Amino acid sequence: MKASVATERKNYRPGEEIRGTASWTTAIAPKTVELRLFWHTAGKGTRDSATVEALVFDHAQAQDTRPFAFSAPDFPPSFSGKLISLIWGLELVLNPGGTQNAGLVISPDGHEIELQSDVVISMPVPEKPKFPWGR
Amino acid sequence: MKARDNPYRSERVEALAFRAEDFDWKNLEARLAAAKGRGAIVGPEGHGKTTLLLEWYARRTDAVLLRVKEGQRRLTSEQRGEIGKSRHLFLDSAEQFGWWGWRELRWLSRRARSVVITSHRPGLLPTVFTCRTSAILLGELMEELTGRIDEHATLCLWQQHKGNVRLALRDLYDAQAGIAGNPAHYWWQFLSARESKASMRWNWDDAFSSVSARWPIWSEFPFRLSWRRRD
Repeated sequence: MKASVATERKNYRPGEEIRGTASWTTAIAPKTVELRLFWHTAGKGTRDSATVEALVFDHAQAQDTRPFAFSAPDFPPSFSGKLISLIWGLELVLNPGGTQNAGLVISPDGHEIELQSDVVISMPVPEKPKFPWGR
Repeated sequence: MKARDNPYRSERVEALAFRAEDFDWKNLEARLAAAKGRGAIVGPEGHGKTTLLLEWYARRTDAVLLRVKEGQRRLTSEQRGEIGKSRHLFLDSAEQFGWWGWRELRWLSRRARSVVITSHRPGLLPTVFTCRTSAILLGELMEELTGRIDEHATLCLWQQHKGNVRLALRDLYDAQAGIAGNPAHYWWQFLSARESKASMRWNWDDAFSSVSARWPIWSEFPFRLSWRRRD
């Protein structure tokens, strides 16, 4: 199986249109072909993911190319820190056949937000209760 | 390093295949058959029981997998309904069940062709496999994830976590990311804090509590001293 998802560019702002083409070549015509706009997290903790929008291609041929268009969602934005990253992507799912992914960046300025761990946030420190015998 | 580039990120660690020195699927199936289709995978936390159970479950068709949460003493109503639907039952963390919960499971799964559980201790069902780890195994996993191996680090981590590979891999994640949990990070904090000493002071209460909370780990003492910004 050969499959690919091509977009006009990789970086988008919320509300912008994500345009591109999905292509595949398989031995037999797939029963269903779906293109999903999704996000997932990566990092130290449990992987979380959600499909925001999906597009089903009807009457798929063994060799086919289909155009698509999604609207870039407002939330959540692409970001990355040391503990967690949120990654947007397009997933082409062929049944039978397999899947093919393409990465995207969706954020207010079109660039991945970098979480800074070195930024010092000054917060008032609550006073500890003083013991009568002094400490 | 960004989380998505960290070689020890959870999705990569979870994708690692189960491995053990004396492990063989044929022997495992034979042991289960000898135990009349009732078997337990036994081992301490972070030794690969769940990984083995998931792989075994993936090899079977017509099987159901139930995961018991921490502190769950008996089956939920949803889980009770699922037991009768499949011929093979796989249950993770059976040691969480109480006496009644365990009896209920035995009764509901009496018609199942096979029942495989994981447990921290032997005795619930005949043990078909005991999970063990080694520093060599940790080294192999490290090599698979990063392409290189640090024998000294793997040995230290394996000993520090008493064979718990999951915790060792989490420490390696921290070390790779350069965040708290890695002793080197505390040393770096100490050095950087010393530079801005004028605005900082020692907080001995925090320093003492952080040491006493992890009592026997005196080797970490120089790294656990904390700084607090002056009001």
